[in-house]
Amino acid sequence: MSSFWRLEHLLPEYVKNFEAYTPSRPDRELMKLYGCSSLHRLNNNENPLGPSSEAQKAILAFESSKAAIYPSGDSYYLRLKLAEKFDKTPDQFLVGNGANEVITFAIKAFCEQGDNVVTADKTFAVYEWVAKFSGYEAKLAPLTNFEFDEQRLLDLIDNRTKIVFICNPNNPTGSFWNITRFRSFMEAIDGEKIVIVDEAYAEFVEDGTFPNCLDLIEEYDNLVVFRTFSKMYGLAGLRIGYLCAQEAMVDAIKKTCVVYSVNSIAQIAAVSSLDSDEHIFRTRKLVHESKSFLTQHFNELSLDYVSGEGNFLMVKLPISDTLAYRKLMTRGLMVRTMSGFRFPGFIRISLSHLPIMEELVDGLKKILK
Amino acid sequence: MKKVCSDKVELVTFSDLALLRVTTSFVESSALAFGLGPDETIQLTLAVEEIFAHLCKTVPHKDPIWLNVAGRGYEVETEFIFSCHEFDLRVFNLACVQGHGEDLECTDETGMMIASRMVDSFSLEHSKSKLKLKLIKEKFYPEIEQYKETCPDYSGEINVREADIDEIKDLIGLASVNYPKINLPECFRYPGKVIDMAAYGYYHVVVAVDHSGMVAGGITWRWESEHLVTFRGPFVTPALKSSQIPDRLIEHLIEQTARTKAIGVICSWPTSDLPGSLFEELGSQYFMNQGQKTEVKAYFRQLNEDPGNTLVVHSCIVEFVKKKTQELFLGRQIETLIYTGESRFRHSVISAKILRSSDRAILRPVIYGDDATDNLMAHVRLLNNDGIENIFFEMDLGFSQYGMFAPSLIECSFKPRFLIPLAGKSDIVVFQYLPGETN
Repeated sequence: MSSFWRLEHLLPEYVKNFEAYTPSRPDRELMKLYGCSSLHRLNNNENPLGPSSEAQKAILAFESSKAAIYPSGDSYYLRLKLAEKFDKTPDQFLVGNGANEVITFAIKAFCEQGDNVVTADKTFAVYEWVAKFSGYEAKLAPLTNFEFDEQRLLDLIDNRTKIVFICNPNNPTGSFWNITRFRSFMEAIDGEKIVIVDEAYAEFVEDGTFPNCLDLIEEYDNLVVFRTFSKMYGLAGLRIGYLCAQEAMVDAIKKTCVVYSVNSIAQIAAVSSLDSDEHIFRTRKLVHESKSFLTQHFNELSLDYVSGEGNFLMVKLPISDTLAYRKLMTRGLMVRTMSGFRFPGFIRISLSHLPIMEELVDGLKKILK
Repeated sequence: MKKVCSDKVELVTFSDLALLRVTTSFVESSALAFGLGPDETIQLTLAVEEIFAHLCKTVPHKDPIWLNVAGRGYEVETEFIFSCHEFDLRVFNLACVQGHGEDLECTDETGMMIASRMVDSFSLEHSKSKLKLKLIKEKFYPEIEQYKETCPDYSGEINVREADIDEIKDLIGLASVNYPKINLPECFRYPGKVIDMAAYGYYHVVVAVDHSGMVAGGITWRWESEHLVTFRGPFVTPALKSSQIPDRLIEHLIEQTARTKAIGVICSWPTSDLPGSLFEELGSQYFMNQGQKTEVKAYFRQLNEDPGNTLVVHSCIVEFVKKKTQELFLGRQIETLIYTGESRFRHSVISAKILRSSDRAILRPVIYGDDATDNLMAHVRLLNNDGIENIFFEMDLGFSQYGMFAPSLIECSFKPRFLIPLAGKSDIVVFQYLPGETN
């Protein structure tokens, strides 16, 4: 039997029908292809300030000879640190190779054939992707006014629903549920389903009504919170994120966890990052300034935008977002097109240093002429 | 609309004429069971007979042939799949090549060409070590020609949603009354077929409806290939032409196709209501109908961020590719394909897809060989003799060896018309056979 026949018969339908995600090429290759001499990546919501100074020191102090040694398989010291910072037990944390990995752990742990997960249609795509290529249905509720809609989510839940994913604040709209809305949703769920709240951008939120869901874990045994070190803490290149829940829940999810997937440098850098309040302050200031700068210019250009919490904003263009992407690439500016988030015509811009934002505004003016 | 799953039955048979009756009986009984009418079933069975006989002559004796018959309500598809690395692929050219240059003639029609006339769609696809030969026969549907003009009063908020059966009929009526025939999909002549196609998920119909459920507009789309979606419309009632309906229909189309395998949506017959600023013009093609030529522009919208690519292109189309990639702001590094004297196949192989209802044939390269020009000419003659006026050749620039066909295409009066970004393994250059045309 040829390899074609074997693959055709061995591959499940739900994998056959799934299109693999194509990550962008390295900067040097992109610059060559698009003919630009520099490239500003404004597409992945990375922190332009990089890691905190504490994390940078920790990374530099890493002894290269230790690269031969396996990392702590369960991120032991990081969990201790997280427990201390958030007043929990270390066993309430599970660390993964980026938050994407813990999403996979959770879906694998709870879903079986015929089950489904519920989330919004216009949110971070990984919940939907992991469910689909694992063979589970992803039921998608439309947003209302760029926000997760409680009732629409509840309407989709059936007896085969295992998990409801809430992205709070939502990527890419920046909208969030306040504490009252969140509690009321949890009451409506009544402990029947697992509620996973992705707080990847929580550290950017300054609004006092934002529900820091880590504080609610003791109240709800069906609540799981995801956090990442990729955004505020500037460790995207090291891939590290975690989940927090009650111990019984973490024990359940741990069963599908691949140990040793988080490397030593990432663990050390993450531990050091948690002490860097100054870094959070500086990052918030930069985000605030860049956001004000961009929104002011978008108003002048009569461009509609969606700006909420987080280090990004979305702007609607009068041309196709994918064409705008290519045109901006020729000017060394890389943004995220939003068609893939089901917001056709929008681009999402990661907020960065003011001179780069100026370059972006200038680029937009030129391509929209 | 409630979706229906297609039914599929499989038979593993062998390259052996003794199994001809088994094979045809299998297809005949399956087609009847899947609801194809008796006349259409006979035609499909005869086509299968021709193909199977052809395969028994060409596929090594006793080699397995997988036969799938799929029923999709509105059509039955028969698919032959077989390995192809052990014998001469040349026999799978639709046209047989005899002689050379001006003396070229096609002395004997292949069984495949005869079979292609009995069905609505015929295609031969080649991929690595397998060949797929597909025959599609459609169910008979009554044609509706007349629609009554109506001037309803629309009220309340407009919603965009998937159409139900009545809304599909209403949209076809609205479009047929308000738009020139050239803007309408061919299937709109048969509303029953559109409804069945939508039920099987093969065709998507989305409508804009007012508060009372009155259809004010719509758009339709289907998958042209694994990575490309073609759409028709948007159609809008004259009363609401200046509204946001066209934009909302297009947005809905993009939202529905964005997280799929599609890399883009394309429309070759847009209505005047297409929001052009949201699309890019790829170029134009000609639609030939009984000698009459109409130029139609192709509008395209990419759905993802273009990753950039390196293309290896033959020098005779390098200027065209450079111009197109610049117009579309595509990050492409273009290298010229150089023939370095290596031994080549003597015979070329071209795959063909014939769509009789739209009077179209699409040729694609399989193997480049010394006789490429003669082979192309033979295909053109055969298709022209069969009354097919619109002949295209799609060259995937992801396979550099296909680039060698370019000089032969130019010699045979094919002109590069447009470039579709990433529609195949890489960008696809679409050539059209246009004798007497200059670039």
